[in-house]
Order: sequence, then structure tokens, then C-alpha cells
Amino acid sequence: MTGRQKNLSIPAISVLAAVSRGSRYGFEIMEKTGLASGTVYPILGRLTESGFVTSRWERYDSARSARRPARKYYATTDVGEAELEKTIDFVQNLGGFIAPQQSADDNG
Amino acid sequence: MDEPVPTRFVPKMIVKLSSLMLRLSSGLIPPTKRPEFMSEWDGEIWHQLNADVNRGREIQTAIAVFRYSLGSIFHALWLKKKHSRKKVGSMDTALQDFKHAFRRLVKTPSFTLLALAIIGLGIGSNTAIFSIVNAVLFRPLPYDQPHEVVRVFTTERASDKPAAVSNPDFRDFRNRTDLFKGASLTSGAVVSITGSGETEAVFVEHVSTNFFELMGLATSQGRGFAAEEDLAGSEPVAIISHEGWQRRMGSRPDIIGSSIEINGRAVTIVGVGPKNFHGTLMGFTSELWIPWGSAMQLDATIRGQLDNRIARGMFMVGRLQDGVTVEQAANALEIMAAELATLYPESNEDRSVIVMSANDVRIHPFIDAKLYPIASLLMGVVGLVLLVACTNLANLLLVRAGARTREMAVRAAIGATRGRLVRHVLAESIILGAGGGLVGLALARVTSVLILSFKPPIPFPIALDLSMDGRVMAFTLALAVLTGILFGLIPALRASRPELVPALKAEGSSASMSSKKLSLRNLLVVSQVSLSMILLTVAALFVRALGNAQATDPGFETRRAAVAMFDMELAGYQEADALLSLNELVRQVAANPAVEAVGLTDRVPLGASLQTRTIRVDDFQNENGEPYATVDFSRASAGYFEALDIPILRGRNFEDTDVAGGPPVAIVSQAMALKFWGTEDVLGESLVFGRTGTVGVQIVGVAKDTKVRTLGEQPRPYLYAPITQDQERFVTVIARTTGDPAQIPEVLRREIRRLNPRIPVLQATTMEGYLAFSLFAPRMGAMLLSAFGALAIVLAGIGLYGVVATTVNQRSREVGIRVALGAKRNHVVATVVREALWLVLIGSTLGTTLGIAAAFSLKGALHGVSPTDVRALTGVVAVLMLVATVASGIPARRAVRLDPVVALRSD
Repeated sequence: MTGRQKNLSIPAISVLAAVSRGSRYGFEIMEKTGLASGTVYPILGRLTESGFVTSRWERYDSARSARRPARKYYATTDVGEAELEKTIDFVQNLGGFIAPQQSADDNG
Repeated sequence: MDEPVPTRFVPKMIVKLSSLMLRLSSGLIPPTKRPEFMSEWDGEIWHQLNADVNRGREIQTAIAVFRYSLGSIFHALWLKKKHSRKKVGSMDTALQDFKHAFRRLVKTPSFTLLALAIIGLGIGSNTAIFSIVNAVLFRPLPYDQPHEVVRVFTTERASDKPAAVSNPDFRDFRNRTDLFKGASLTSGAVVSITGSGETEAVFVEHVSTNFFELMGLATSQGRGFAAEEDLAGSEPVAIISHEGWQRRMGSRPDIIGSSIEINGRAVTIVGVGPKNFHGTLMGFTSELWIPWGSAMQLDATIRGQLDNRIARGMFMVGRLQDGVTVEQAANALEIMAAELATLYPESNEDRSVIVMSANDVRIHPFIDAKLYPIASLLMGVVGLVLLVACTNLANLLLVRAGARTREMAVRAAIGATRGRLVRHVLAESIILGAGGGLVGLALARVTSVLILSFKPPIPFPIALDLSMDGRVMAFTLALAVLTGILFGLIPALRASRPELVPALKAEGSSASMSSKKLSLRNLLVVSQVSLSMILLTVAALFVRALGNAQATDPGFETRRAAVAMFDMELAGYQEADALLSLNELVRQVAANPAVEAVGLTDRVPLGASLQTRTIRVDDFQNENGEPYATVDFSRASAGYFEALDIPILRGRNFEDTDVAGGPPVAIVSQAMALKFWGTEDVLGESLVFGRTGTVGVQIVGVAKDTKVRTLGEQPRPYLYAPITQDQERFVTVIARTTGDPAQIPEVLRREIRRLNPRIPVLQATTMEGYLAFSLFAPRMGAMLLSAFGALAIVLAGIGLYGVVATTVNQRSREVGIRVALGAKRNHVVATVVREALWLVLIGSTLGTTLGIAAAFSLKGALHGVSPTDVRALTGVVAVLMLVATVASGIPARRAVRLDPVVALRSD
């Protein structure tokens, strides 16, 4: 199902990480990552296409009973979690490679 | 959807703005994706506004929401892109559109061919004229780093008009090595080349020896010039042009080191010029380049000219030092010119300097200035033709689109966007535009060569490089794309906005062809008619002008005379023996039984070159209050007036006793007598040649006025001096015959050759052939304008035909009903035709008015024909009526023949 072979971009990693760490909908993800909405939504779309993230609509009747519009929730898939782990490893290695002189916490 | 929470005004407005933003963004994405997009954003915004954490921070929250909503554009764009990628890529749709368009065009070959022909003619005439204009005015000079190359002119006295330079001035300028890397002196000249038997006059250029090197031109064979070949006394050498080597020498391989006879002297060819280089004067073909040192050997007068600061017959071309601009060079040389004016007041007083980038000079600024308006006039003319072609095509496509209204409606109904429909229709016109461009290129090639074959009747070849360079290609491509869009866009927009319901109701083209659409087509017909009428009006005036010019009596014999021009000096004659030989020539020619009278002159009026002389007359003042004036002038023999049948009205003709050393005499024209003395009775009056001359010239006769410079002019003052008293190197012998004048040029050639085979004959022709020069401009103007005007009116006729035919088709049912109810067929037809004639009337009134307005600005070229000339305008209206009758009559006749039963069944 992973159609995407390329490495994720840094904003995409942030979004994937934010979803994985519990941000469930668009505006929350924006706040968490500090990315603009125009960046976040296309990334969410792409992550969904790649199978890293799934989305589901809030049940219509529960929204209706609360007299509010339904909301779209995002969650990571197992594939997404695996990809995120792999990417974090990669980023940490990359940090060590790019800045070998610096102490480890500079890479955070 | 529930309204968001905020209650206060400002946050409310901001939230409103946000939802507007969303709505706008959603417009970008495909309709099927829209609801999901809107739901997600609406949900997010609702939650944001209603979140507990945001309570009491309404403004901040609203601003945050607005900021977020801005991002919806990118979200929408992404979705849109994804969508189109998923379905059919936009490249694929474009390709599909083109495929379909191509197929449709192939299916309707008659439409396609007609369209291609129309566009081809429109673009072809533009490209043809442009490639000539390009060759004359725009093609960059073949020099290395041409932007460094400048031309330097000294001005005419007390004026800012560029003249040429003298060699001493040139040397002073050239020595400014802070300005110039180097400079060359060039000049066009005529020499005689004696080949096998015949002596021929050819156009050459004298150049400084550094010329080729300085311009970065490499000889294709042999060497360039050596520096010492600038000096007098060096052995005469020349570089032959590549073309001359091929044509004159048959490309002989041993050309280097061979010798040819120029002006009676052997000259060694040391090199062959670069391919496709014709010299420094655009359009003229120099056959040889001769260094000044050799030129002095070949022509005795040149040395004197080179030493004389007054002899301004030469051109300076220089290469600027790195970093020196044209302005800097001009400023520095202007200061120098002021110094020279103080040092040499006699030659340089009141003369400044003009420096121009060489690319801005084609022949000479004075001539160039006359070429630009002609070029823009011609481009304007063919531009109008193209406009007519475009409106015509737009019309045809409208009709075609009308027939496809239903198809379009179906497409739109099943979800094709408007853009898609427009592209769909536009694809067709782009293919037509491109195809028409190709047809146009081919036509242009033929046309431009054809136009140039009408070269002005001057005795030297003209070379214009008409090859399709990048500029011509780009021009044609731009035209093709532009016309494709221009004639395609309106119909495309129209066709893509079908009124769905009637169109789908299968009422075919008739019901959907609302009056609005028809009126757009009417508008197009009106503009076609008026555009072509502009051209036709101007063309008709030019034709009348040509007629006028041809019918103008120049005041001398034209039908039975012939002339031969030759150069005595090139054959090495000195004044006295030249005269003896000329008298011998006159006797020989006169002995021919077909010849009635023979005369000599140095210049026949109405030719390519002018000759003027400054004179002083007592009690006369010109407009500046000075006692002198410049008048047109020639030297003539007594026989001249007889051969050309110009009556001497008062006094006497020249006589054999008017010899050099005797009292100087002159004959003046009536206009001259009137201008300077206020009466024709001027026998015994006198004038002085030159500003500072002292010798009185006595007027012994008054000759009838003749045309001097142009056929359209008012009588001009003209002064004759006896050729026996005062000689010039160029001589023309004129013979009047009792028989066929076409035989006479050969007689003259033969007699000149018999007198001395080394005398080069520049031109030998009948008088009518000679006058072709003065008729050249009106002839070209009348010919080109008529051709383009005819083209335009034919195109307009096709447009008119189209509209009438469609109207008849659409109204066939109505006609059928009317006829069935007893209406007279003729009456029905008249209605249709009357409508068409209204369009013609409006268009022609508009066009003729504009044409007359245009003609007023061209008045100078019209030879006394008034822009409101009745005969010309009547002719134009007659042509138009003919076209209109044919174009509307043919389809109207179909309406007459219509069977009411068939017509009624047609739906």
C-alpha cells in the first residue's frame, strides 16, 4: 500500500509526528507544528495517499445531536508509525553527520 | 450550517471574510470534491471558534481563523492538481483537443482549404513585406561586434543634417585613438571594366586598406589589403566580391593574382570577398573593393578629392574603443568639429559632427529617413489585409460553431467546463493559424521575390538578402499565433456559452442563432467591408495618381526619343579631346537615317540623380536675405532642345560659337526667369555661378518649362549652360527618331563603341524606359495597393457571402411560410439582400471616410490627385457594389428557388 518510495520532507515528518503524538485534526496539527494551513492540508492529503495516515469523519448523528458540524479526524496507520520511526532514525543519523562537532542535544 | 459563535461585530466580519475565502478557494476545485473540502474546513473553523480555550479571545481567534483560511487556497490548488492528474492530464486533454480538431478539419476539407487560403494570404502578404523591410532596415550588418561600429558624418552647413566627410576631416577624426580602435574611409564609385570586347560600368567601393580587418570580415580567398596600398603610386589591386567572382569570373580557381582591366588599367585581384557581403550600402552590390591608393591610379580626380577638405563625398566608418559609447564619441568629435571650424573656416565653418551606431544606418540617414515611412505604410497596408482575413475567419468559424451549438450544449450538460469548451474550439483555430502560417511562408517567399523583381530602373544590380532569418520566422510565428487566437477566440467564447435549453431541444442551428449572434457576425462583416474599403480607396487614388503621372506631359519628347549615358573620364578623356569626340559622336548618330535630331546633355531631367548649381543674381534675395539661390541645372548642346523638342521661346539656342574661353552664356526656363527677374523677358540679363564667382553669365534664351524632379511638381526654375563651355564626365546622348524608338538604344551603343570601345555605357534605353524611374514609385504604390486592396475586397466578399448564405439558410422556414402564404418570392429575397446591402453601406461609408483620411496624409505621393477624387471613389464604389451583388446574390437566389414544402419540413 505504500505507494511512496521517496523520503518524506521535513514538514511532512513534522505533520506525521504530530498526528502520531495525538493531534487529530487540521488546526491542532497546525498549532503543534507551527506550519501554515496551506502547507498542512496538502501534506495530510499526501500522507493519506501514501497510507501513512487515515482519516475518518466524525459520526454524523453525534455531531448533529451536539448541534455542530462534523469534523474530520486523522490518525497514523502502522505503516505510518514504522515510517516515522525509520525517519526519526534517519534524521538523527543525518544530524550527527551534518554537525559532527556539535553535542547531541543540538540535533533535537 | 450553524452560525459561528462570535457576537461582536469585528470578529464576526473577520469570520465572514474567512468563509468568503473558503468559498473562493472551493471554486478552484472540481465540483465533485467540493462538499468534502467545505465540510472539513467548516468543521475546523466551527471547532476553533467554539473551543473552550478560546473563550473570551474572540478577536484573536477570529484572526487566527482567517489566517488559517488563507491556506485553503493551497489546499484547493493541491486538490485541483491531484484531481486533474488522476483523471486525464492537462497535456493529454490538450492533445485530445488537437486530435479532435484535426479530425474535424479533415472531415470538412472545403472549409479547411478556404480557411488555410485566407490565413495564408493574410500572413503571406505580411511576411512578404516584412522580409523586404527586414532585409532593408533590420538585418544586422555582417560586421564583427557590430555594436562597436559607428558611422561618422559631418553635417551640412548650419544644419543638423548629416552629409558625408572629407578625407582631411576623416584623418583628424581617426587620429583620436582614445575614441577609435580604427577607422576606414569608404565611398561608392563607378568604374568601367573591360572584359571580352564590351566595356561595362560597375558599382564598386573604395575603401581604406584596414577596412576588412577592422570590420572583422575575412576574405574567402587570397589576402586582404596591405597597409601601403593606401598610398598613391602603389600597384593597383582589388578584392573582388564573392558574387562577382562567381558570376563574372565563372568561379575560376586561379583568380588570385589574375588581372582585370579597370578604367583602362590592369588591376591585380588579390582576394575574393566574404560570401554574402555586398558592401557598406544596404541594397547596393559592390563588385569590387579598391584601396584608395589604387583608386588614385584608376581615376585621376580622386587624388585631388582626397586632399581637399571641401570634397565631402566619402563615408567614415569606425570601431569604438572598449568602453567608449556612441554619445561620448559624438561629444568628443563635436568639440573637434568646432576646432576644425576655426582652423578651416572656408570648408568647416558651421559644420558639426553626427555619430551613429552603424546598425542604425542602412544607406545614408537621409535616404533611411525616407525608407521608414514607406516601410510603415506598407506594413500598415498588409496589417489591414491580415485584419480582414482574421475577421473573415472569425465569421466562418462563428457559422461553423453555430452548427455545433447542440454538440457544445451536450458537452456542457454532461459537465465539460467552459474553459474546456473554449480550448476545444480554440484548438481548431490554432491548427488553422499554424497551417496558414506555413502556407503564408511559402506565399511570402514567392511574393517578395516577385515584388523585388520590379526593381527600380537603375543600371546596377540590387541585392537584398531575403532569406528567412530568425526575425522573419519569429514574425511569422507571432502572426500565426496571434491570428489563431484573434479569429478563434470570439467564436470559441460564443460557442462555449450555448443557451442549453433551446440548443438541447434539438432546434438545430436556427433557434439558437439568436439575433445577438447574428449581429456579431454583422459587425464582423461591417468591419471587413470597411477595412477593405480603406485599402481600396487608397489604392484607387494611387491608380489615379499613376494615370495622372503617366498622362503628365513632362514638357519634352518622350515617345520617339532614346538616350545613352556614358562616362568619358573613365575612358581617360581630357576636356578638349572629349569635346571633339562628342562632336564626332553626334555626327555619326545623326548620319543614321532613322535619326531626326541628336543632342547632348550631362543630365536628363526626371532621372535618379539631381544636379544643382548655386547662382547669384543682382537684386535677388532668398528667404534668408542672401543674394544667392540653388537651382536645378544641366549642361546641354544646341541639339538637346531639338532632340527633346523643347521650344526656345525667346532669344536663341546655344551655338557653335559658345565655346570655352568665349563669353559665358546660359538659357533659363520660364519659371526661372519669372522667379529671379519677375518677367520672361530676361534676354541680356546676367547671373554669376557660385557664391563668390565674379564672371557674369549672360542669358541668351528662354526655354519652355519642363518637369525636372518629379512629374507632379509645379514648374521649377531650370538653368542650362552650353556643354561646349563647361564639361562634366557623365554625358548623355539623346536621339529622336522617325521610326521605332526601340531600335535606337542599340544604335547609340554601337556608335559609342565605334568611337571608343573603352567608353563604358551606363545605360542605353528609350526615353520611356528612362522615365520609368520617375514612374517607379507611383507604379509600385499603385500596384501593391491595388493587389492588396483586391485581396481585401475578395476576402470581404467571402465574408459577406457567408453571412447572407447563413441568413438564407436560417430563414428558409420563414421564407417557406411566407411563400406558401402567397408572398412574392422576389419580395422575400429583397429583404435578405437589403439587409446585406445595409451592412455594405455602413461598412463602405466608414471605410471610404477612413481611406480618404489616410489619403490626406499621403497627399505628397498622389501626384495632384485629390483624396476626394470623384472618379477614384466612384470606381471603388462600383467595385464594391459588384462584389456585394455577387456575394449576396448567389445565396439569395437559393432562397428564390426554395420549395416551400421542403423548407417547411426542414425542421
